[in-house]
Amino acid sequence: MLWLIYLSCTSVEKTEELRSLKSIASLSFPAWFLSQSIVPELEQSCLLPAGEDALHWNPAPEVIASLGEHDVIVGMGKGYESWIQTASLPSKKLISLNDKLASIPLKGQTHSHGSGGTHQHHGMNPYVWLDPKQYDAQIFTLQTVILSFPEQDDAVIQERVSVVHEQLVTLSEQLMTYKEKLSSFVIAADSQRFAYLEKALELDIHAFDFPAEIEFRTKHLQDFMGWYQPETSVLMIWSYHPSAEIIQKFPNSVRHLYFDTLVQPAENGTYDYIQQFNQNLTRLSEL
Amino acid sequence: MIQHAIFLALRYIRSTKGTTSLLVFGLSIAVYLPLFSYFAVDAVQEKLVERGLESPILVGYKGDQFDLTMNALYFRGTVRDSIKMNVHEELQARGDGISVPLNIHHTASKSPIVATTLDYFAARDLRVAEGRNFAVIGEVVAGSRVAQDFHLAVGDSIRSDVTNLYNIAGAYPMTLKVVGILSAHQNEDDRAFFVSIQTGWALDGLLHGHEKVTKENVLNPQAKEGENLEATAAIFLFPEITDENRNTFHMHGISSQMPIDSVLFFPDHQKSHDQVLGEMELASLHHAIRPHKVVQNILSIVFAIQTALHAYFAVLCLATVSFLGLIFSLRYRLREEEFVLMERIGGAKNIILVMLCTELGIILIASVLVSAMLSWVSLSVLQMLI
Repeated sequence: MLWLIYLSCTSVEKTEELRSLKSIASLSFPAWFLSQSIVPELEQSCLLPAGEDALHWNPAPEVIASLGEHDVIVGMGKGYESWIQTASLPSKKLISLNDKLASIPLKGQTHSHGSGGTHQHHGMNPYVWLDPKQYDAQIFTLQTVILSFPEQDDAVIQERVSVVHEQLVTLSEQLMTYKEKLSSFVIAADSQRFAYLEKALELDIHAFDFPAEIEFRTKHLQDFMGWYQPETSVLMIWSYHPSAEIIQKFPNSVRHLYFDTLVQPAENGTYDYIQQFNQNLTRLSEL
Repeated sequence: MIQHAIFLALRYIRSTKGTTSLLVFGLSIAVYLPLFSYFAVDAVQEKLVERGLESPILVGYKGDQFDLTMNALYFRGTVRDSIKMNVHEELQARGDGISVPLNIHHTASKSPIVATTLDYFAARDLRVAEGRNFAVIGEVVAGSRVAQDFHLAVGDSIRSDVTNLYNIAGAYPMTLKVVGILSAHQNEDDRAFFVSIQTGWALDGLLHGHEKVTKENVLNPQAKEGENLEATAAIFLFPEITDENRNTFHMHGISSQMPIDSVLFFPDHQKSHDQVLGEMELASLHHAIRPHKVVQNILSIVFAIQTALHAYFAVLCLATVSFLGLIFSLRYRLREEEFVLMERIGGAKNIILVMLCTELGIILIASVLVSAMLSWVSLSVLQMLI
């Protein structure tokens, strides 16, 4: 009985284990960029192999199980790393950077690209980072998580964050300078990936559900022609470099713009959000 | 002289093995019953209270607290109504504790399958002794006892039991792959299988994989491209989640609206503990309970039974002692001639008394030893059962 009384009086508080931050695993490249920008001295890894689409790629169960060995697991969230929905990860370690941001729902569309085969998109649009302002908000989310670990040099981390913050603010401001120019076009896009760009620039982008170039068929062109208005200046935004062959299929008056969706490293093999977004701005300036 | 009395007593006991054994047995049972009941109640109390205190807050559908506690803490019985996954998500989003969803209504060879998240292992301090923890749907981690009972090793498979034989439209049994075995923890966790919460939904049929829906196996083959194809009930559902078909498993609905039986909440501090209890008071469909309070209620019944048992055993002991007195007085009368003879050949009266006391002492000591041994064996069995 005394034992019972003793245990009943014991507080629910548990002794907090001293957490240490030694390694961070990122589930996609936009998450990896932020993570390595804040704490480059830590062991950093990006789980997503270059060339794979995070929306449809599935890691092996052993790889998922080994993620628990990292101190922090950073993902973009909103369903971007879709395999998370059926995988088991330690919730205390998993950070979804997109989750606290306003969502844009995806329209259900059946299509095919990457290794996922024919599939349908549902849920929320995860491509938040295409708006540098939103991406900027995410670095502060990550900063809060990293600073929650003891033994972190607050001043150094805050300085690094402020450097990236300034770069992202500059990118956002530069992007906004193209708002007027883009407003003069009737814009379409090959996919829904540009929804946050559309929102940032207060544009109206008609999103098609075009597959990768190799699977581009006449019916996709018919879809476009059904929407196309010959008397207007039309801008077609692509998430990949459209070949001359595919451009030829479209009316001559249609302008084409490749806008890197920043999900993969650049052609040189390294992922640098700032540099790659600047290249997007250069392409916009060449319009 | 006393040595001679002891020698005679031992000789007598040897010559009456049958009756002495019977006496020892009867007396042992009389001592064993109150001894075992005392330690058994203590052991049960310790186990129940320990588990209750290790589970500060339990959230479930408003209703029977006893069912909820027995299901979530001891994996026994089922809860009548489920709550939504968003209850867990909201608790998790607080960030001041560990929230663990639980779905415990499936079994494999009658052993409970606990569908939960990896946080359960962290909160309960469970360690994987062999293999690894579950990572994707279709994987299972076995408790140490259940692995031992079914001779399971990493790489083996188990099959979930049929939940309803008469519901052919319900969920089918699924084959799950054992990827890890937990180390022994001497509690309920040793006797359960653990799967991810998504695997639990797969067992419910809410998350499933099936053969490709084509115009050949749909109810509306006339549907045009882009229109929804309505699959027939005869479509082949995958009974096993493999590396090949895992990607095809999908949920009809969003995870936050999926059903769970309960949520265990492990607060970081007293403040969050009190806040969660307070906030849950305002919820209309679910409530938060303190499992150790429920356990104490159960124990109060056990204590009442124990008190009644003590009274019963006291009467039993009294009766046994009376019988023992009667038996010894009868034995004395039967041996009266023997004692007279002993006196005639020079045996002192006090030596005869010492001899009789020694006989009684040996019988009592033997009875206490036997009852202690019986109690120890019974308690060991009980420890394994509770």
